[in-house]
Amino acid sequence: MKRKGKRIFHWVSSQKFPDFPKFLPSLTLSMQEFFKFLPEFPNFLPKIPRFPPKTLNVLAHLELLEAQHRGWAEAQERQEQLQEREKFLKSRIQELRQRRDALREKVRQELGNLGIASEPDPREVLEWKIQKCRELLRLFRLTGISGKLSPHGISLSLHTSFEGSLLDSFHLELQERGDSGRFWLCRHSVPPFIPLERLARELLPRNPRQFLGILCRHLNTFVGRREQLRKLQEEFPDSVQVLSQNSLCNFLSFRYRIPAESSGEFQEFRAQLRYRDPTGTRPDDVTAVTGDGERGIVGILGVFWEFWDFFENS
Amino acid sequence: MHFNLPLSKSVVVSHLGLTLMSASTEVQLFIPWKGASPLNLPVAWSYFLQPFSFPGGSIMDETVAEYIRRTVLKMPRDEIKMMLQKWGFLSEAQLQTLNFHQQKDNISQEVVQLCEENSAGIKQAAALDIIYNHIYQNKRMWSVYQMKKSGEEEEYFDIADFKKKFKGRIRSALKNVTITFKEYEDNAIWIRVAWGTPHKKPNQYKPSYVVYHSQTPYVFISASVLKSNLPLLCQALIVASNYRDIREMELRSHSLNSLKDIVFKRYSQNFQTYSPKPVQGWNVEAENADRRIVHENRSVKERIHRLNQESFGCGPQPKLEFAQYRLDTMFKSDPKMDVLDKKEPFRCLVKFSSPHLLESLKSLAPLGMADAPLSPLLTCITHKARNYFKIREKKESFVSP
Repeated sequence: MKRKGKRIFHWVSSQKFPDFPKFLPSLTLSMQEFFKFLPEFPNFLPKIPRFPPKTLNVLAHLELLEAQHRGWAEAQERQEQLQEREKFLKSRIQELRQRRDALREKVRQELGNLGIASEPDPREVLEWKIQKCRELLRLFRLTGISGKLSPHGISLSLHTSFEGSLLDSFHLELQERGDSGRFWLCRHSVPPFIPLERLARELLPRNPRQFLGILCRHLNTFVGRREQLRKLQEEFPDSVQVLSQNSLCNFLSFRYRIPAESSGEFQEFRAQLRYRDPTGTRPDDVTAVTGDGERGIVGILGVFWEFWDFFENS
Repeated sequence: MHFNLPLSKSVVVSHLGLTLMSASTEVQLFIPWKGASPLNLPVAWSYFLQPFSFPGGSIMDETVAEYIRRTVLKMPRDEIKMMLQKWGFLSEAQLQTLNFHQQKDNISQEVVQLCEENSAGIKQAAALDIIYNHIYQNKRMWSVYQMKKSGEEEEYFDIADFKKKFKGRIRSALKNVTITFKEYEDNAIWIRVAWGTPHKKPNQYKPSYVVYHSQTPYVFISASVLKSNLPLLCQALIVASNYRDIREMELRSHSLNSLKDIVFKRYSQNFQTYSPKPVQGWNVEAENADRRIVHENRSVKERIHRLNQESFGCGPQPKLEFAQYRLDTMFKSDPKMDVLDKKEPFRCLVKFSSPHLLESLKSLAPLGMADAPLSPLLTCITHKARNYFKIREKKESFVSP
């Protein structure tokens, strides 16, 4: 006599299994209990017949498949309908929002006409504040130093200026090393004749503010000297000839040809300007040499101070 | 972009404009002069002759004359007048007498005649050569050298002092050299050195050029074919500019301005700021032009464009011709495949070359040929200022010895 009843499935293996949770009393599962652990089937699926099917009738099987697919097609249609409804509702929302904004404007106008100030919309106030912040950040470059946090670290921009006009900008990227609070220089666009590495080595680990301040001064004075030289050449192309200059513009020599007032001839003399301190705007050393000797110096110095005034006031 | 996988060194052909004209002094040439004596003397012989006077009354060395003639022949015909004016050795009146619409041969002969009248020496000829090479600097291959500071801060740079020390150092080692200096407005000092030996006169056709910007630690050298004089040149540079040491950076190119841009950090880098940068959108105008075209992957393209801009920056790139990677890494394969019996590093040389390498790398991602972001090996070329890399096994770091 065959024993009919629950079929008992045992794990057939000698492998070690992971610990089962405690609420599972036994390892034996029947077919029905097995179905309970599967994820919930969607409702529209017809009941899955037991496998293997009872009959091997092909037509019946095909009918089964057709029914399945019909069910799926209906489900798809329903989904599409839902999506359309969603779209329609969204556009309706947009429409209503526009109407609301238009009406709000109208109300504000009417109130304005009547002379009553209306309350500002909190959202608008926030937007205005954000806009203001953004503009302020953009304008910050006029202070000379501005920065921004970037994914790689801090990106600082040094904007140089001379006598009210903004000139070149130089950029630095600093990264923080570890948690010690020390910065190190990652990338930069500073020209090589500025002693950037020396300053970074000496000042950056200990005192980043001082480093930035001194670097700013170096750059500003360099750009200022360069600008002064360029203006001098522009304003007096005939009278002044630059004999030599160097990259930092701190050792310049000129030749001046000034028409003398009394006679029609030119007076020539040479001057050498030396800026010992790279952060100084005034030269430390001025040597003027004339070909005339003593006699010409007095007259020439007067003209020289004219040029110097130009330097000061340009 | 082509791949080169030779196991030997790859040879880079440098465009020396002078190679066509370089005649070593051993070759005998017969130069028919207009006003020469009936004897047609070869060049080599002129070393042993005293400079003899022409009916015009000028005294000029034959080698100098030949050198000036060759230099003028190198110049394109439209530019000869401009270069002679820059030279400033011939007066305006003399330049007016020249006819620039004839054959270059005849122009050069006339120029040489005028130089004879003014009795040009080798210095003036060298100056003309510097002018030609300054305008056609992209014909030579330049390599960058970096000098290390000696420690004390120099107050200012005196060019007269520099010249004196440089000349002194070279002359103390080698008597037969021609050294010429020329300063340009961008603070560049061009130095031309023609080398000779203790027994031979300097070879004017194979000079070395050095470009130095004052108060920077970088020197750009275009060495002549005679490489044995390079150590002396480097030593003279260190002595003259008060530095301690000099080493060659792995950066070479034909375009001198691009090398300067890379090394002086003048190229466009991408720094984050709040100020609005000129947004070179992604051709927004072209998009709006034809509304019938719909771009399905607009967001992908914008992402690629943004990543590209982060690595390369917005502006034009410096012009390099090649990037060379020497791989010294182990071949990683499935151990079962067992490609190599011996466990030694797989040596491989990968060379990217292009008329404008960085622009082509920049356009790889937008054209879809590579994934954005590009490999840091390619994008670090300008940042690290090198285009010769050695990639070792350990941590895949690209530091060369």
